Amino acid sequence: MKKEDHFKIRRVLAAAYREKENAVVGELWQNRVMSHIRSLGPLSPAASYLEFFERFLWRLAPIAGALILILAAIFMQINFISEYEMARILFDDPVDFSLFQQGNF
Amino acid sequence: MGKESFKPTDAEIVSQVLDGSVNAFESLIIRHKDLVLKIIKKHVPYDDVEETTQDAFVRIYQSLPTYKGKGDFKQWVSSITVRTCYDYWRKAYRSREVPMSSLTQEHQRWLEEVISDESEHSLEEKGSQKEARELLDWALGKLSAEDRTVLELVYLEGLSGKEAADALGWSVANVKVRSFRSRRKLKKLLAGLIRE
Repeated sequence: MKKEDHFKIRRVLAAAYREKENAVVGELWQNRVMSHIRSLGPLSPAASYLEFFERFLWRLAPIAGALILILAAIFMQINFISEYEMARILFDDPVDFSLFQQGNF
Repeated sequence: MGKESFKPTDAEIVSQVLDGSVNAFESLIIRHKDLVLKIIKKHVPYDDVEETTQDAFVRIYQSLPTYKGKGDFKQWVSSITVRTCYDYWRKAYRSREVPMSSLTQEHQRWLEEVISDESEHSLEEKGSQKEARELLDWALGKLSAEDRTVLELVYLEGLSGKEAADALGWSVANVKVRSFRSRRKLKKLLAGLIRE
């Protein structure tokens, strides 16, 4: 389709889209909304994120501390640093590292 | 002193509602019903406008505790209304209730007339014809709820990517990608109608 043809169709479709605004709607819905809202009753104010954070931050602090210690111990056990170094060497010099792994180095 | 000096602001009415005065919400409905209806009429089929308007206002009421009072209340209301329309289409597509209109050769002829038309004024006039509405409904019915909503906001309404993203609560990148894809789909659909 040519660009100018598409432009014309777009103009017509946008006009048709705007035309929808002129549809007439009754007023009955307004009473229905209010009776629905009255049935829901008064709102309870939502706690803000900050309040939520303040309330739970200190409760979570000991758990977070314990988790840090446990993870540190696990990483020491599995020699995480060496694994990381090995991966780094593999990426730096893959050919030499592969020979080394096969015992041909 | 006129009566107008006692007219409470939207933020004041919101705090009244939050303080437990449910009836105060009615004045927010009266103030913003035109805006909400204007949006819903464009996005939702005529038969479902009233029900969707009701849903939008209930959603606005339930979301009032999250209104911070800093931004423009109208914009906040518009955003909730657009999301209600989007949810309407998501629900409709999920339950496969989207009316699939079909086009006839008459629509095809009409579209060819549009393309051969040279006058800008008559293009606007053609937009108010029944065929234009049917063609629009047919094309939008072929798209997903996401594509349809983005196409309406960006392509037909002329909102910027940022404005559409704010209204939908999506990222600007997501709106841009969706907008690009939906335009391409629409172009393909329309190209299929035109006889070369």
